[in-house]
Amino acid sequence: MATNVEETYLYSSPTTFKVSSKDGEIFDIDDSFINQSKTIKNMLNVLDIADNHMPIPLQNIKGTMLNAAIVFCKYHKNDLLSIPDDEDEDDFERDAYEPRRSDDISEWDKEFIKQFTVEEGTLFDIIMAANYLDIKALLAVGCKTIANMVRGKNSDQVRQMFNISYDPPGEGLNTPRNSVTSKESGDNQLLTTQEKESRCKTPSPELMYD
Amino acid sequence: MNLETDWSTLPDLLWYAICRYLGKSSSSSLINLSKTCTKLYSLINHTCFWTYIIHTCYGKQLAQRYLFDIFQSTNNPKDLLENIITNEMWLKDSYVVRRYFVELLMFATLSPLDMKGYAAKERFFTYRADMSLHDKLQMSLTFDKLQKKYPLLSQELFDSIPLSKFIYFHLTQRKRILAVNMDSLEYCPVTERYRPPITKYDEDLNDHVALISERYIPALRHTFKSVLPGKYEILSRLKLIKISQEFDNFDFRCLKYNFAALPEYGKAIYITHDGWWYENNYLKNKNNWFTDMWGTTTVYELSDIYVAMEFQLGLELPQYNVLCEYIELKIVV
Repeated sequence: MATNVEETYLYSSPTTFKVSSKDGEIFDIDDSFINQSKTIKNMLNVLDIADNHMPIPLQNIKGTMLNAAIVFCKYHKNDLLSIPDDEDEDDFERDAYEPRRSDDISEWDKEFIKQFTVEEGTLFDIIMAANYLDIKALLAVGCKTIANMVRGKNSDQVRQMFNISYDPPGEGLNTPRNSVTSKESGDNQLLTTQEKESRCKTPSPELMYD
Repeated sequence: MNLETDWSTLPDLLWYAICRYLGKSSSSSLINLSKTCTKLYSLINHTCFWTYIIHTCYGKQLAQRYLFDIFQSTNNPKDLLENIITNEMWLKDSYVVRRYFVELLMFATLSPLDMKGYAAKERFFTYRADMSLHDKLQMSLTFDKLQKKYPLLSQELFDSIPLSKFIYFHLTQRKRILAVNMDSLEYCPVTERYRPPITKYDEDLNDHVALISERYIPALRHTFKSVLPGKYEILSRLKLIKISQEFDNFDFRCLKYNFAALPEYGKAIYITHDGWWYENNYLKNKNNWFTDMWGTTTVYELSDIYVAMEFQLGLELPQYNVLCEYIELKIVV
């Protein structure tokens, strides 16, 4: 019964709380944010914060990202409170070849996510923030956007797009021993990342294609 | 470019969350992603990754079936009727079959020198006589049999690939054969003269389709090789073209559409439709393409699946022509 009381408290009273970001900015959050962020909801349940003037510290999130997340939650406050976990789905009717859709991002969400870019690192930050705050809808929009960017690109393009440094073969699964293409190329020489990048075409692990 | 952000440092769970949206539609993107760096290579080449993708893209039931159940069950070779025929039987009977080439099932399974197809047909008749044999069989697979499906992979390479990755590719890969690539047969030897000029028959389609008319290809057959155990819906993509509106003296019994799907080890589908099938589907779909479901077959062991379809389009005056695009096996729960 105690849980019920707590839940009633959270859901029924339109209380606002304060949160502070990594860079010290303070924001007011209301039910729209609390209901969508599992992390905040759990924090409030666990911490039992009575004084809502004391900001809850969110040390992992920059102010700009926190502000964006609040805007996102305000817009989506009337959506379903939780997106069903696909892992738990057992849909017998589902077409085995129906792709999991990544193109069903709404217009508002598309515009919203446009302000975050890979180049400035803000797309990375907003996904990390959504993950930390456990806001499923925001995380889904971020992940779908990334999936759409990756789709149809080759590994060089993906590496360039996301600034992923190519680690040269020599360790772990990327050793020339395990790499089919490197066997063919015979390029077993250990090179630095810069040298590899300058060569552009680097031996990369070839996987099984069916 | 913000050089501080290295996306390879994104937590594994978030890469998983991204990849779930690529799982069904773009397996090549997953492969390309895995080639970007060592971290993503080891992340994506881990059995947990493919298990997760199978779960999220294909649901619990298929994941349970393909990752656990089929590897746990075994079938008694006696129930499977593994050694149902001998060489002598086959050589003797195949001669008869070739001479009196009347039954579709025989057509489906009769590849030249294919004793497996002949055995499958014999098995079908035995199962039909004793349906209880089916109850004793379960979907079952061993690693050795799975390896047979990939004869080009060396032992070392096969061992290094996670099982769940093989299963993912099995679930993702379309098992579809275009009608123009199927074997065709008339009740006389196939020669180039009897083959229709297979070009673009349908303006809506960019791909090639086969025209089935009284003159050309009244029957088509194909063998789907090394299909993993499971339940498969079999469907064909067709379009009916009405070429005669004459109903005088028209006998619907003259029109027939037969199809058969016969797995080596599994439940066969063998159905005959008469002229009403043509009439109903023509009225329902007019001049549009439609998908015709044959039914669901269950495959118990790694099997070849023999499929055949046959058309009788009227006796003296053909009523319909048929365009066929493909036949597909679709995995179902």
